[in-house]
Amino acid sequence: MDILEQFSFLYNGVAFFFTEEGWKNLVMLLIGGLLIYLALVKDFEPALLMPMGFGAILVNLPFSGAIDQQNEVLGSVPGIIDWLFKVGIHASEAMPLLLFIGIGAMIDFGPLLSNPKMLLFGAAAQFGIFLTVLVASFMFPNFKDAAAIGVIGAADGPTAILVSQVFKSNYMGAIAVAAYSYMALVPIIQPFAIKLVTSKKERMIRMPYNPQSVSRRTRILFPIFVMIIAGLVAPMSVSLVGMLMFGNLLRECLKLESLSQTAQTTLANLITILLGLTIASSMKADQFVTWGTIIIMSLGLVAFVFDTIGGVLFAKFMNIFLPEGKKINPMVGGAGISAFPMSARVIQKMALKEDNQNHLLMHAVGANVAGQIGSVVAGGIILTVVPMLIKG
Amino acid sequence: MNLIMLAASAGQAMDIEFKPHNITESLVLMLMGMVGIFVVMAVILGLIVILNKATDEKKAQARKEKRQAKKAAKAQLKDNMRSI
Repeated sequence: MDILEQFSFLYNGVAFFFTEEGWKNLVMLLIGGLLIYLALVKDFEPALLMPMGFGAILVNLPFSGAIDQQNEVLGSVPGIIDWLFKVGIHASEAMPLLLFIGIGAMIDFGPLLSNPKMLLFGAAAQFGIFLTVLVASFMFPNFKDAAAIGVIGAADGPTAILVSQVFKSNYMGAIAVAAYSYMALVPIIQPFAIKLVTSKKERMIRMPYNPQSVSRRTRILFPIFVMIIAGLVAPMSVSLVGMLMFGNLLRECLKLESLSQTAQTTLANLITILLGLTIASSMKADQFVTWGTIIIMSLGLVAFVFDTIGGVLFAKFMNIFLPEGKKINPMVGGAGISAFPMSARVIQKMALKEDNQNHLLMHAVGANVAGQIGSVVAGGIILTVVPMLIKG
Repeated sequence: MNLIMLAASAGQAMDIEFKPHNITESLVLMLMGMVGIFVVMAVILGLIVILNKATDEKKAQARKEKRQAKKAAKAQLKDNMRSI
């Protein structure tokens, strides 16, 4: 036997890159490196993008043992990343849902409870989701795929992952990368979108902050009732809203401080570590290196821009009916997306830039927190309505 | 029309069909989705207003003090009537 053939196992991996499909794996290694660079050097959502980038490299190395492989002699050899995916996402969407417990425990709904009309901006700023579904439906014949792509506009990674998994979309990897990447780009996307549809005079509107006091009883009853209301309207949202509100109740009841802290720190960090790596299972070269991925990345931008525009235009619409002195600064509407707390900080910064005495932070935080509720409700409604429309 | 043909041929090259596959369903989803979200948020808004009113600690304290003051005034009146 030729001596080179004897030692072929040493160079088969490298040789694979030069096969007909092997170049895609090379592209994925570069994409993995890019995600790690964006995470560690540019500080783009490092908690998710770094594990996703690393996972992308793990699963795209030729004949990687990190994913399920078929061996002529050994038969089926399971891989850890595919196992994590089957158990943690495919079986019951456990990972994004458990992460929501941690996120709920981190949220303080106080600014929203003391200024509840901000909820309406949390609704309006979900417009980008549905517009993106409409645009995606021109390019993706499968309506469930189009709906899963639209949920990038929820600006909420776990919701986007959950919806794409429930709809069994082949584009989950691209959707997850798009959702987390654009969340990190909110400080660039939102100012651009807001300036497109507002004038300087509108951006300078001042809003006095006179919060109502919020009792402990309200803080405890709020998550319970929200879960019931959202669950009755959109039953498929119960898991999403339920986990979020359970985490919040752990925080607000003040009797379970150690559980609340565990949810906010240990649980959230543990799931975040595993979720990023697990998503990589859907970033295999043959699934990810497609024109569909590029289109999805573009549609993600559409979703975020029109989320912001939807919220801003709704605020401008409300201003038609409001007297002078009580008008809403339209930028606050743009804070109704779920990217918390980045969006609120962006709005505050923009307001101070226009008028260094105009502090909109607490209004923006209220809208931003409302966006967290709005995005999970939107996800639940999509999970409920899309199957109805397909069946109908 | 030319733009549509251009998009279609670009789509063919990318192995994607540029045509309104599910436009009616998407529009219906947009309508149902936005209305649904606004309805849910409006109900939650109403819930918050009711909860804030029902659990307002300052007002509850004020009501309690008012009740106590009324009780004290009644007791004082009774005492005065007895002494007369």
